[in-house]
Amino acid sequence: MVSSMKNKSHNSKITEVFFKVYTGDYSEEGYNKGFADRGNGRPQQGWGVFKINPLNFFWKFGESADSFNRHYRHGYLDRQRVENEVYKESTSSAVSSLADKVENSGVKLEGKSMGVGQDSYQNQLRLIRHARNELQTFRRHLRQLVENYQQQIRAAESSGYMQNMIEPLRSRCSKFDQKVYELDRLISQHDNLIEDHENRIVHLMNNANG
Amino acid sequence: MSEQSLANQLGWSITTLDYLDDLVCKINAVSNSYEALVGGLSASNYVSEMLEPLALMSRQFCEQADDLAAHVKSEHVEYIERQKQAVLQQMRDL
Repeated sequence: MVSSMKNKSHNSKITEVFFKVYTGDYSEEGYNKGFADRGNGRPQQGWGVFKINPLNFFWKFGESADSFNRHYRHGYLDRQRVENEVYKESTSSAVSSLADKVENSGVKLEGKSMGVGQDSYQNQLRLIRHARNELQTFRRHLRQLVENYQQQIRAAESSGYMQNMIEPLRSRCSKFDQKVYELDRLISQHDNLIEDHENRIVHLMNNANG
Repeated sequence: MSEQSLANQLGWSITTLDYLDDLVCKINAVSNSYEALVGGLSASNYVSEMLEPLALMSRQFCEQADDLAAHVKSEHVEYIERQKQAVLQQMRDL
């Protein structure tokens, strides 16, 4: 049992390495290295290409080096953001001074949350999650409405009325279906990208809190 | 054609037009919401290199959604509306 689990894990690691060499996608390694380098106080460097698999010196070298270096810079920059608390939840100076004045005058504030700046991770996460929900809801509505429309056409056809209009409507519908399909595919792509953003903000937030 | 059949056809046209209107409204609402997201993130000091692709995505979505809405209006709503008017005319002529 244990040896079969080990074999499985070994196989998945081989597949992962093979996939990485094949695609030349070193974005994750680049990001983590950049993040760690800045965390360890090392200057930003461009030696990332030496961390890629040697096979990628012969296969997709350009893509490998580019994905590593580009994401290395992102990781490095993100770590700087965390260090400088660029997005840390905080009160803005104007709100802080107002809060101080109120406190000095003896009026009690109901917690600091009222002063949370617009530039907080939480606010960005809220916006992003709201957008993802809206897109998914729209996607469901879109499918439902298309289904309703097709049902209407089938109903008209089976009832035997509007015979002269059904055929032209059918041909219009094939174009309509194509456009809906393209929009649905676009939403799916966008959802993946927005999910990446969400994960990155969570990563920044965890590091800022840690 | 019988009065009942014409009434059914009119009912069908109205329901179908409602579905299509609903679709166009939802498309517009989501496009606006997408734009508001980019505006909101931009105002909240969002990571700049992540904001740019989002703005591009929002434009992409709006273009494609507008295209679908325009197609629905010009190819479907107008066509069914014409059929509806024809049915109404036949009902008046009875």
